[in-house]
Amino acid sequence: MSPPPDLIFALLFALTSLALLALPFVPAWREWRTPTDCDPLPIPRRDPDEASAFAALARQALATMPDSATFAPAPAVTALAAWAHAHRPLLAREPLRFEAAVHCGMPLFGSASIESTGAASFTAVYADESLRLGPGSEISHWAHAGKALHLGVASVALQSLSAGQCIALERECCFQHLRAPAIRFGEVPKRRLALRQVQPVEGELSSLPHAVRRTGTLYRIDGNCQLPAGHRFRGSLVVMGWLVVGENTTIDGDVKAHKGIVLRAGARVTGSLVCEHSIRLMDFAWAGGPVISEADVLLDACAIVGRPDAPTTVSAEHVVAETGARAHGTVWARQAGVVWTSEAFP
Amino acid sequence: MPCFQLWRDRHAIHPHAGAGAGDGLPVRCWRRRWVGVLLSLGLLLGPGVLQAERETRLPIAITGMQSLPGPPEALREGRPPACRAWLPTLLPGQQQTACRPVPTSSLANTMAILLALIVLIMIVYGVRHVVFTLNRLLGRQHHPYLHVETARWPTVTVFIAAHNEELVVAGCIEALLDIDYPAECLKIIPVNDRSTDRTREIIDDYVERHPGRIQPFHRTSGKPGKAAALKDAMAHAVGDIVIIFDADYVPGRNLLKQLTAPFFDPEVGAVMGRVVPINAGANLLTRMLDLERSGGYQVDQQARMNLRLVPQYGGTVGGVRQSAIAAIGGWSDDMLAEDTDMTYRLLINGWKTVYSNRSECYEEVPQEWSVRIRQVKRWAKGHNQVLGRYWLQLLRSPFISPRERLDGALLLLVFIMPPILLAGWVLAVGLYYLDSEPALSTFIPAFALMAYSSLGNFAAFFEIVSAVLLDGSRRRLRLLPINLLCFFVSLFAISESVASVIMDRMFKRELVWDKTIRYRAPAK
Repeated sequence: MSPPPDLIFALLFALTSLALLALPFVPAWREWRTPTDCDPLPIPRRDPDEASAFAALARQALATMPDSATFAPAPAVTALAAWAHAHRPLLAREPLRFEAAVHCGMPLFGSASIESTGAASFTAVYADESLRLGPGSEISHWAHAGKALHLGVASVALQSLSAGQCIALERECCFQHLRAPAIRFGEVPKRRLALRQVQPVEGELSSLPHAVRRTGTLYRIDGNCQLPAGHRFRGSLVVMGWLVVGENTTIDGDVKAHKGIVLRAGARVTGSLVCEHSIRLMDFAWAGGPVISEADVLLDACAIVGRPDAPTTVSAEHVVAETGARAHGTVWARQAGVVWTSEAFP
Repeated sequence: MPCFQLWRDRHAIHPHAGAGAGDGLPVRCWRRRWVGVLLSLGLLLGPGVLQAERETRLPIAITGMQSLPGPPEALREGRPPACRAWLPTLLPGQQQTACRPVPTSSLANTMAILLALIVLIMIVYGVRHVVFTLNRLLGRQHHPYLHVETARWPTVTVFIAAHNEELVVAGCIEALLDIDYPAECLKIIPVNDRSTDRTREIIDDYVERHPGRIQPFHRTSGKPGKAAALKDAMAHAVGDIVIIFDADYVPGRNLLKQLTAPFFDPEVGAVMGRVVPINAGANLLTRMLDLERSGGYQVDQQARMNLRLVPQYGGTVGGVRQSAIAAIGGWSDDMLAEDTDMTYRLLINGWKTVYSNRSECYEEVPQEWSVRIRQVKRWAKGHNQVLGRYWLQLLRSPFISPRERLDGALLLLVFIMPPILLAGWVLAVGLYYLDSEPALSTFIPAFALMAYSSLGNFAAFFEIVSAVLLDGSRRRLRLLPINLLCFFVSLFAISESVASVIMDRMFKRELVWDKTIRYRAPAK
C-alpha cells in the first residue's frame, strides 16, 4: 500500500523546513568552532581627519627622510614633467618657487617655504615655513604650513588645510576643513564702514516675552525672539523658533535657536551659537564660542569667530564666508565652504 | 490501523464528503494548501498581508467548497471568526467555515483579540526597528558636535565608578591621565564605593604619583549602589560638566573632547558615547553580546539621534550637565537604572540627550551566562521601575515633541515586551489547540515565533546585520543564527524580572543592585 499524499507532503514540508532552518547554522557553527573574526572592534586613537596628525606625520617623515627609500628628492622647479610623473613622495630641502603651473601627484614635503605664482595642483603638501599657492590652485588631500598658508583666487582645497600661524584664502576659494590660530577670508571690502560704538543698556532675559527660567542662568523661549539693539544680556538662551540679536547687542552666555539665528551688525555672543538651521553673523558680529549649525553658517564681511587667545570652531554643512570675515581656530564645512565677495572684480 | 489512515480519516474522509473524498484530496485542494502556507507567512509581514489573505481565501472557498469535504461538525463548534483570521486554514473544511456563520466561544474570541493586539504591538516595534535600520543605512547622519575640535574647553569632572575594581581601575586612570584635554580643566575623581579589595590602595597610589590631578573619593558607608555613590560624590565635582566612566572602561585620547563638545549646546543635558566590548572574543556569549551591542549602538542609538527621537543615556561613557540635574531634582539614589531614570527625567523636563557614535570606549561584557542573566534582570528591573514612575509625566510633558513622546513611550515599554511576547506565544498555542488544527498548521505558530523574534522588541536581527556591516567586520555576522539563544535567554530572564518587580511592589521589598563581575587580568 502506498502512503497517502498527505503524509508525503507533510514529511517533505517538514524536511524542507528543517533544512532551510538549519542552513544558516552551518556557517554559524563553523565560525563558532573556528573563529575567524572575534577581535574587539578597533577604536582609532586619533581622528584621521585631524590636521595636526598630518603635520606630525610630515614632520616625522622629514626627520627620518635622508636615509629613507620611501621618498625621492624634489626635482628642479623648472622640470615640470618630472613633478607630474613622480612615483614616490617628494622631499625638498630648499625653498621652492614655481613660476609656472605645476602638477604633482605625490605628497610633497618641504623643509623650507613653497611658493607658486601660477596654478599648482598637489595631493598633499607640507611646508615647514610658509606655503603660498597662486590663483586656481588645487589641493586634493591636505596641506600644512608651519607658518602661513595662502591660497590664491578661486583655489580649491578639498580636505584639510592647517597652519601654525595663519591661513588666508582669497575670494572664490572653496574649502572643507581649515585649522589655524588665524583664518582670513579675503580682503575687507572697501564699501564697509567702521562699526558704530554705543554704550549698551543692561537687559534681563527674564523680561523677554515667553521666557521661562530653566536653571540659574538659562532661559527658554517658546516661539521666535528678537532682542533689541544696543543691550547687554547675561545668561544663556534656548529659543524654539528664530532668534535675531539686535545691532550692538551682547549676550554673555550660550545661545541656541531651533529655526535660525541672525546676529545683526556688531552683535556679540560670548558663548556658543547652536542652531538646527542657518546661522548668520552680519558685519562686525562676533561669536566667542563654537558656532555649530546643522545647515549653513554665513559670515558677512568683518564678522569674527573666536579670538587669537581663545580659538574656537565653526562647524556646519556649508560655510559661506564673505571676504573680510575672520575666524580663529577651526572652520569645518562638512559639505563645502566658499569665500565670496559682494564687490565686482575684474 | 496505521496512524496515517487515522489522520486521513479524520481530515479527508467525512460524512459529508463529496466526490473524490475517499480517494484523497482533489488537486485544487493541494493548490489551496500551498496558498495557505504562503499566506501564513503573512504573520511575518503584518496585517496588510493578513487582509490580503482574507480577501484571497474567500473566493476560493466560494468557488471550490461545494465539492469539497468539510470537517466534522464537532470540530467546527467553537471556532471563532477572529481566530480564523489569525490561523490561515489549510484544510477544505476550514475554508468552508470561513464562509459560514459558526457559534463562537467567548474564551477563544478573547484570546484571539489579545493575540491580535500583541501581534499589533510587535508590528509597531518591528516597524520602528525597520525605520531605524533604513535611516541608519540610507538617511542623513546627525553628528552636529563631532567636529568641534578647537574651543575654550570647560572645566570637567570625570568620575570613575569603582566597587571592588582592583583588576581594572588602574587601566581607566592611566587612560584618563593620557587623555587629550587641558589638564587644568580636568579633575579626575575615582569614586571608591565601599570596596573590600585593593581598589583603595591602587587609587591612592595614583593620587600620590600624580599630585593635584586626581582627587579620590573613598566611600565607606551609606546606601549601596552606583547611583547612591555618584550622588554622594557629586558634592566634589568642579564645573558644570560631569563625565562618568565605569572602572572597566578605557577611554581613548579624543573621547573626553568628543563627550564634552555637545555641552556647548545649552539645551543638552546628557551625552552618551558608544561602548565596544573589549573581551568580544572570549567565548560564544561575548561574541553574541558584541553583535547585540553593535546593533544597539551603531544602529538603534544613532538612528534615534538622526531622527531627533530619544537617544538613551547609558550611565557610563557619557556625561551630564550638573545644572540640568539640579533643575530636575538631583540624582535619584533609589533607582536600579539611574541612567534610564536620568534620560527620562531630562526628557520630561525639556533637556536633550545626545548620542555620539564616534565616541567609542571599550568595556567588558559578561563571559558567563549566570552573570549575563543577572545583568539583564537588573536592567529590566531598573527600567520598569522608571516606567512605573514616569509614564504619566512622559505623556503629559509640555516640552516633548510628538515624535519624542512616541519613541520615549516605546522605549519605556521595551522591558515589559518580553512577558507580553511570551503571553502571545501561549495564546497562539492555546488557540491552536482550541481549533484542533491539522498537523500542517503546526508550522503556523512556528512562523509566528519567527515573526516575533525577528520583529521583537530588542536585538532585532536586521539591526545587528546592518550594524556589523557598518562596522566593516563582516565575518562575525555568521554567528547571527546562534544569537537566537541570547534572545531566548533574555526573554525569559526579563520576564522573570518583571514578575519579580511586581512581587517587590506587592510586598514592598527593597531593590537589590547586583554588581557585574570583571574578567580582566589585574593591571601591573
